[in-house]
Amino acid sequence: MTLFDDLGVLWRRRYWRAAIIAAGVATLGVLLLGGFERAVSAAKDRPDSPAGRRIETGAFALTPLCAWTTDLYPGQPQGMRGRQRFLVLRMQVENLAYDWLAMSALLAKDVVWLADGRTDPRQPKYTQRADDHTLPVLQPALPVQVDLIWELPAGTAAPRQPAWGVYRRRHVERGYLAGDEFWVQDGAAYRLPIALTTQCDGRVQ
Amino acid sequence: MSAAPRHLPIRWTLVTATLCALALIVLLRKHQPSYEEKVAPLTVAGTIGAPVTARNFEVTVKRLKLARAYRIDGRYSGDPSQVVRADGIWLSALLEATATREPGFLSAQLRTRDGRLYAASGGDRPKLDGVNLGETSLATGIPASGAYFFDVPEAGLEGASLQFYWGLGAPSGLDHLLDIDLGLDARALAELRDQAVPELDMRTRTDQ
Repeated sequence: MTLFDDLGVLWRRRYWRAAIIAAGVATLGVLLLGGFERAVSAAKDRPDSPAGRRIETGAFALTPLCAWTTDLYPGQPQGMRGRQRFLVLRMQVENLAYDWLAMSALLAKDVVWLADGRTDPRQPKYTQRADDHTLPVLQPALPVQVDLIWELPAGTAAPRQPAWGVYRRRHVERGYLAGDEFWVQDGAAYRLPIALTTQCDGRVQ
Repeated sequence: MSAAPRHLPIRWTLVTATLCALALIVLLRKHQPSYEEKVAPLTVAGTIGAPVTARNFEVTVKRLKLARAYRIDGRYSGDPSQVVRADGIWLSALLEATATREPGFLSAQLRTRDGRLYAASGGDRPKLDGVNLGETSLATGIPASGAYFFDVPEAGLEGASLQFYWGLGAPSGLDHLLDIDLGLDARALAELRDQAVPELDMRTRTDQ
């Protein structure tokens, strides 16, 4: 008995005929919905944004100003010089939320140094105001210059143009479980390749 | 004896009542107060110049001042003086505060007319020991005179109110939140701006 004979026999049976039609309709549906097209990754490289350009992430408006390496980060006592190398990124930060609470901590989670230029994200070790080196309180709608500081691993030199990654952050008005409001990280937003400089406007070292 | 019906009759009133009950459940679930709303702080209104009492403290806001910057003492003896500039403008609220039941921290924030909240600056900005009450522990029963400093956008001052609460961080749920009307209308703000100096000298030492 050949395959087509089998199909003929099956087609004469009511339930098999319904099953064959259903399978055909399902296959057609999958075809029309693009199910047989080649799968491509939805992930795309995030756009690069240069120093001096203002970008918005949802919670913050950020303008990276300059970056440099140093063995004494701004405000560190002179006696500490030479013990550790640091990578410093100075940014103008504007809090777009309506509240100050926890925004400084969120900033430290949203701007990461990409140690190999594309991946290996690392959060800053210190976050401080650029002018008096105190802990920044990010007040709403009030731009402030902030230094984000990373320790460079011993024996490694920072590339001439290190890169940082910036995450988006989305406000949830009413969470499902407790009905509370919060900010949630919402995927990568930008990559910031910034050449190291020796001069930075207004830098205090 | 009549024969039993072959099918159960559909009781449409019961079906309608069930659907209504389900719709009501969904409606109530959507509009029930959130956890934050259930434990929200209890607001106590007050005005500038009058003492206002909360569960564990009493505050009297006496006056307000504006300044673009403060000149303060250098960090150590012999260090040059420092200028602490505001990103917006400095609003200082001069007041007397007393912890009434237990010692601890009194926090302050400014609420603008559009609902934005600005925290009082910490004790290290501007660093004015004995004056800046930010992050200063209050002793029970001993009034503390000083000021809270706010770095705020100048455009947000009109109609702003000053809020006080016990503890550090955010206002605690189900505890008092004082909301002091500062009377900052256009005329009051103009007067404050007229009195403001570009750089207010707050130095205490003479070696700089």
